[in-house]
Amino acid sequence: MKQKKSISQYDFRVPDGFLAESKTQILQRVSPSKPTIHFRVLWGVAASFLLLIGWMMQGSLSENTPVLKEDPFVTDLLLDTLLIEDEKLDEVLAIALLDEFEKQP
Amino acid sequence: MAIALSFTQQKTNHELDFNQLLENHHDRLYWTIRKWVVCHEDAKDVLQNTWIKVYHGLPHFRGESTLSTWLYRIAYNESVRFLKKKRPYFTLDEIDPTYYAKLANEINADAGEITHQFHRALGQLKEGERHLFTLKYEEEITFEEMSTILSLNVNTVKTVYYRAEKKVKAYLKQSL
Repeated sequence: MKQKKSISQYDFRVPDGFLAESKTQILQRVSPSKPTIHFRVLWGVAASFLLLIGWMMQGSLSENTPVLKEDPFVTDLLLDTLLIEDEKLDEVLAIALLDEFEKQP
Repeated sequence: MAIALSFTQQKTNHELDFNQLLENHHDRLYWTIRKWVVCHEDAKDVLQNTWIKVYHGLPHFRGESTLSTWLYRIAYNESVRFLKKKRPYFTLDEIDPTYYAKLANEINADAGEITHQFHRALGQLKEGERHLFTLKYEEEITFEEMSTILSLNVNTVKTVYYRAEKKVKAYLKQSL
């Protein structure tokens, strides 16, 4: 295309310095802006971080907690007491404790 | 690492191309858009939108036309889209009855009678004729380039242009 310098430009009015200013504005608009981090994203990251810490602590707690050995006396007693009525509970407990006492050397 | 470097290189080249394009075509594009949309504020908006589209489209430019033709095509599409948004009844096949009235605040105060007559003559043209006439008359773009910019057949472009030119000449001959 040939570049033709138009004298009149149809005699349109244009604000002083507009063309130079416009170029600067366009360059500013298209230049890559710094990434902005929204609060929602920050909350999401924080929540994930907390979950991760919680999970790691849970893992270490289970490793450090000693394994409990089952006591057959307590298990039997608990199972028995679940099946009986309240009024017989005292009697059963007394017999069980007595039996256990007698078994001890 | 090599991929990252290549991407950065491409990005830098793209920005350099864009800056060059902006430097070479900005003013001329503004005046072309201004002649289509008339009002400065409108032309300013259309111009900015055009350059943003150019910036994003530049990496995908396939070179099927010259860069400047592609640029004018984007500018024309943006201008027509803007005019349609502003005037829902907008059509390229009709005369814009408000054309001359819109010029009241847009023409320099010291503009001579010839300028006013010229604008009156343009006001006699249909919207499409005016756009086409402006593009050819002032920018000296070839008919082939115009057919690409306006998405019209070359013969149609020629017919419309010569018809518009005849109308303008006839009006000026009569009024001056």
